[in-house]
Amino acid sequence: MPLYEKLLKVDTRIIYVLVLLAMLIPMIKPMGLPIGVSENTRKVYNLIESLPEGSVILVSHDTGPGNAPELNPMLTALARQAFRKNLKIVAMCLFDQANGPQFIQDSIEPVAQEMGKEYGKDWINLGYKMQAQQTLKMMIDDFWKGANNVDWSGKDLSQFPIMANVKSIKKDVAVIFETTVGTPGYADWMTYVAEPTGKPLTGGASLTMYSGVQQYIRSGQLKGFLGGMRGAAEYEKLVGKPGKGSAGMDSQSIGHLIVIGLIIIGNIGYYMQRKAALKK
Amino acid sequence: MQKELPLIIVFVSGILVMLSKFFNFWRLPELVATLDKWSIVMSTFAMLMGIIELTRLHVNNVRRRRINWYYSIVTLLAIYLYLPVVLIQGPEGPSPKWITTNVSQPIGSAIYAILGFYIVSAAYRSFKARNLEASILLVAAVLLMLGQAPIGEAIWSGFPKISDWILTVPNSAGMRGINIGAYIGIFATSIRVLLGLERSWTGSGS
Repeated sequence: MPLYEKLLKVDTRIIYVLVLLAMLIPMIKPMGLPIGVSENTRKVYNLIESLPEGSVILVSHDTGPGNAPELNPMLTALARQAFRKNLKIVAMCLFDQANGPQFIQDSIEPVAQEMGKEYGKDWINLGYKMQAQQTLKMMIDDFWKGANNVDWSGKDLSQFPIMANVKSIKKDVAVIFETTVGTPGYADWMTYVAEPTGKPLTGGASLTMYSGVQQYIRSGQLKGFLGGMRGAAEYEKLVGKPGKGSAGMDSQSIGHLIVIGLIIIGNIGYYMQRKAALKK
Repeated sequence: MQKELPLIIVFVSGILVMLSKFFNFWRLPELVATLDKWSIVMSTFAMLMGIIELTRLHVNNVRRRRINWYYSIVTLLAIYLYLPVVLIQGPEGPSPKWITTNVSQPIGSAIYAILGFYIVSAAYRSFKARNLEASILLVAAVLLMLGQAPIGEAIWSGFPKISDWILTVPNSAGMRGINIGAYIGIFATSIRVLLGLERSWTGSGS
């Protein structure tokens, strides 16, 4: 078998093993590569930092299990920054009914407990809300109605002191923090909430969405952006507490190198094959 | 009337919602808010219909011993065992939490993670510099991968800057063009639906 054919026909199993090792080894033995902080991440951090004490951040955590490793660390880092500044978090999800509320709980509650913050007073999990666009439209003027008057566990919102000061997005929310994997996403929040009310919209998304949101960042409609696990790692760095986002960065680095290496091998094989064909 | 009534409802509702964006007279905002509420309630009914339809389909699969009928049993068990557990304990109860954390999330993550292996394999097999366009795509992809991972920055500090430029300038321009085109398409389709010219959603074809 000529060399170019060997280069063009690397066994799929070898590729899979390489990818697996690229993911596993850095997790077991981290390299600790330095992570530079991008301007977009800094904007998110600065926006939250600029809020006065007691301000309400409305979080919409719209992800399923597939993208949760990228987006959950963003929420944890946000909670850490917000609670440190005595800000309030009102969280909900519009995407995954089964997993979304649990992601919110698992990402925020441990930080809240660690920092002495109380559920219902400093933060609340409203769970999943159906029909994103209609819910958002309602919440602008009547937040409780949009939330169906209950939190995740079905308890009446009047039981929670935090909700006494959150009657509408228009009057009581300082910033919207949206983490998304597509739809519902930034387009919905911009169209129905951020543009009509002038509330600043920020947040993060999976890396696959990074190219799609650039236009919103450039136009200023999105105030900063956390791009995938890298964005989460950068945010963790700014908040000063490395977490799961930072832990995944070495694996991502080696994974990217494996992909680039394989693409180069494939192209060398392709070039040699073409040359051989021309000779014939 | 069976065909006309849905068209009339869509036309009236659509016009009311559109008017509410531009005018504030009579009780229009309240009316549109009520329509929004109805829409949420109807979604709940749609979910109920989905459960009924799913049950019918899978019960038939089991009854008629269709191919892979045993997976239908798993689906039915998942629906009808999880439902009472949540109804009794609430979504935040220990059992739903255990099921979500130890079954739903790992399965979802695993399925998504498998994609990573396929993508690497597909990139190796298909990403070839066959012509100028493919070569530009290839170079852009490599630069972006190096710019997004810390190792790229460790190799050369210019990679993140190049990656950033690709994303913010040519990429933004392309995405805006695509989005404008898509929204014009959505607008045209919406007008066709409102005027009853597009009727495929009624099940009767255009």
